Amino acid sequence: MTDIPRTRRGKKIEAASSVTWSNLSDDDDDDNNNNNDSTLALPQLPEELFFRISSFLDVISLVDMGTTNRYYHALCQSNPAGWTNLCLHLWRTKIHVAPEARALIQENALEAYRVACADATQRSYVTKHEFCYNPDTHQGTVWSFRFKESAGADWTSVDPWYRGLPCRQMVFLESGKGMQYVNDNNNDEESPRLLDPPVPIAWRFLTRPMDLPQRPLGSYVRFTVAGRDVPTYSVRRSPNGNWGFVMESCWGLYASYPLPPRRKKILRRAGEEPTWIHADEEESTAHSSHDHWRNKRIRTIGHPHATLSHDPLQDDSQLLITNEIQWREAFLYNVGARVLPEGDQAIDDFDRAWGGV
Amino acid sequence: MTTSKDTREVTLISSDKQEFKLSAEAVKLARMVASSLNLIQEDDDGDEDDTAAELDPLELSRVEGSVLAKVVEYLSHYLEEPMKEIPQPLGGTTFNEVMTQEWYQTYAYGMSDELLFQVLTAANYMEIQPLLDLACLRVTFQLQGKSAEEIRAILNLPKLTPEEEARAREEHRWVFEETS
Repeated sequence: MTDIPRTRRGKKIEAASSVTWSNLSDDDDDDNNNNNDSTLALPQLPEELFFRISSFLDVISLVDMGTTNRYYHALCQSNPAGWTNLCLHLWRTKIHVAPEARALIQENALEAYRVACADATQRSYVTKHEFCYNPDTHQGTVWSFRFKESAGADWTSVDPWYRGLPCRQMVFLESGKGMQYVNDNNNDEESPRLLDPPVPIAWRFLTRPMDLPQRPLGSYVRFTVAGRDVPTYSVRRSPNGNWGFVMESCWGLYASYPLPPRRKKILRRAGEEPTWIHADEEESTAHSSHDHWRNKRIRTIGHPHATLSHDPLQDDSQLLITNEIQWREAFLYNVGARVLPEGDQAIDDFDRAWGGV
Repeated sequence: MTTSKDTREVTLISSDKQEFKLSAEAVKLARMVASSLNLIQEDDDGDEDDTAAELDPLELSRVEGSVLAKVVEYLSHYLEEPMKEIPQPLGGTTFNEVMTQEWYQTYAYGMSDELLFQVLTAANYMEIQPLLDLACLRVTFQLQGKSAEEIRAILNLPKLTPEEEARAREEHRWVFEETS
């Protein structure tokens, strides 16, 4: 389909670059355009100006723009329409972005955006690369840990999070070892540091713990603490939408990003970086009910991929893995087992051994 | 780098022969005009500025008087109060949050759609980047949040056929898909 350059009747346009567009309506209604809701002569604009405008738009509006006609459909798919910036802007707020998406951004930013979002919504297990930490390059995830209330006072009383302090932090090396991650910044020594934990911690992936369904590798983590297996941690994406991971057992919780502190604070995105503010300090956003152009809100909230402004993990109410769900593993741990069996057969064995528990 | 302001007077003449006077310093923001008048040194070869005592008037045959008036208004004010840069993507959800300077808010919305478009075109032609951004920003807010149907109405675009529309929507369904 060839596009023919057209001129607006009676006025010359500068066509320094060859501008093509299709489907320009030929109606000579320009004179009627002087009322309030008049039509904008956007189709007359050269490409680079169109891109300037489209690059301000949010994702949904940009997509809508691309469904208006064939010419815009083509324009709105291209990188300069704003997809590169949309990717970068969104990804800056996210904890993990699929490497294959990052690799695509130069070639096709729209596709990169799509791939990243698809990965974040469809993959709820962690890759080894995402899970581990490399002490030489400092690449990888620093996990935050806290006990759940259900662990009992013996554990929560010595958990810094319960005293309003930041969580303990751990990293996991590819070798299978867990290390404490300390970032105190108060001495001249190189901070952050990795320390051996008070008791040895080992980790590995598994695919079929006793109480939970089979899932791909990277969905479940088995920790062995001081030589004893502890109930399996189940991996999923964080409920706050930041594309980070949480892993949860009946007694503990890890997150691949700093967990919100226990005091009533909420995670607020101020500018580019998430910051902690007190709940009572939260500004009430003054809405204007008029449609006046000054206060007209553009639609950016409610985008399916936006990070929530509050974090559901401030308390235990949103957590999923209960003692009832993980009852076999919890039971075995409590009666002193050193190893927690896994695999389909394990359930039958357990029920046979402990039947009627 | 010397930053003494160029206080010489420049005369710009619109297509309909209206004359507008402003200082050379103000005109520097319009790169196309500035280079036509040799107001800016493209390369710093250490020579003294070729400061002619007087500057010839410049005809802008593509810009109408009413439009040039708005442009000159912008340039003159910019000298007193430079406009803050508009970030990409936008840092706010209302026009006022993005452009916090009141004068520029009033300026941007103080003209009809048609005049806006003409100013936008003139700013592009005269290479006035900040004015271009401001005009584009207003257009953005008139389009943002509108459905495809509304955008088509604003831009007076012909519809897609139902099949084309369905196909276009299907292509981008992933944007709207919730977490499974």
